Amino acid sequence: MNPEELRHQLPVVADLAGPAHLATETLVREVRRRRRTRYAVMGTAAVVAVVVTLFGAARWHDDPTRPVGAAGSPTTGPSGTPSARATGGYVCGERLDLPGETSSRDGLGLAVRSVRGADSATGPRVEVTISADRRLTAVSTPPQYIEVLYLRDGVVVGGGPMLNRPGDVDTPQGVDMVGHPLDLAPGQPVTQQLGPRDQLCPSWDWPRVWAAPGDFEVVALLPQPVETPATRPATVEPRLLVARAPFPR
Amino acid sequence: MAGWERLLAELVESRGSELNRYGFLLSGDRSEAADLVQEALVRVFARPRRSWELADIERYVRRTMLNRFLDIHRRRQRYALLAPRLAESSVSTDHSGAITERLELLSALGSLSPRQRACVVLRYYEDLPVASVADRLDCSEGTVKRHLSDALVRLAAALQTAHRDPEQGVGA
Repeated sequence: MNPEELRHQLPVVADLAGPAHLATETLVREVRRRRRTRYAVMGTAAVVAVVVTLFGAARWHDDPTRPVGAAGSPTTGPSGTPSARATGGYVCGERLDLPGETSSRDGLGLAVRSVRGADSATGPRVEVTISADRRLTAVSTPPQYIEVLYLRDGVVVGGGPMLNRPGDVDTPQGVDMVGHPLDLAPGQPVTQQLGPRDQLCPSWDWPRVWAAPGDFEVVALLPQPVETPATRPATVEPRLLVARAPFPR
Repeated sequence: MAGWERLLAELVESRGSELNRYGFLLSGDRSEAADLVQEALVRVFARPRRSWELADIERYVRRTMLNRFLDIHRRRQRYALLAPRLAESSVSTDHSGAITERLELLSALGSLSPRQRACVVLRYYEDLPVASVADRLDCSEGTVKRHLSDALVRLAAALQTAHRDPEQGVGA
């Protein structure tokens, strides 16, 4: 048997399949059922994430040792606790210390794909990629809520969506932890465009930043996506994936 | 009716038969083909997507059918080591000329490993280039070529045997 004979005969063999008996109504019902199940799983993960965020924020808020300084000037006091960092207490002028910082964990990875300047009056456009070493579905953070910080000498000078003004330790931080489904496979990272992040701390403006872009760094911080169905119990301490990149010159 | 429901109905209406034929060539069994198609449709439509283009969706469905076929047979191979065969295929035998030839080829396809069979269907039925077959099966082009070569040898041997001894029957 040669390939041409096969090409000719396979469609004839396929005729043995007979008519397709596909009941659309039954399919629609089953799709609806699975969607409900899927949303329930994602909703549960989102609720867990909100609880964890609030719990962590409360802990951070009660921590009297957290450092606060003026925008652009590094603080010399003790740095924030890992839990404070992991839950996102981001204040202008504060040094960003991330003990145990990593860009990959449990087979999931975060990387800054590109940082592009639009114009001298606005912030850069940031793209990140989320990758996995295996095929999986995970609940992640919507791109617009992935935290981005701009640092100068390790000190926060801008970013968002969570960013408090210098000295503002009272305003709680948080974002709507709406589940954002991700289908990941090895070698096929998912790219997320994070949208504009133009907020700068009061003592800075974009022309000044773009005048010396080599002095600045972009940091993306993503709560580790939750694999569904869960392969491990949820941890009380949220864990961050952190990726850094220089400003474009 | 939601957009995805209309698209599902349209896909079933316009491409259901072709998906069924594809599933049948992969599995060699009518009920398994129907299961492959239905499960793939449900899985693909159960996941919200940004864009719903008919051609894209059909491609997802075919890919899902292929992955499910390979998964099922991977599990079945393990199970086959422990359990005797419980049931035969539902394809009935008919010994009239043309039908017999088709059944012989169907039976010969059954002698291939699932990955060899997938390679044959993708390459010679779907008419995909070797590189695309390798991409679908997540393996190298060399592996695909080896599977195709081995498959042709096996098919030739199986068909020769069938012709030599037609009394043996050709049940799938």
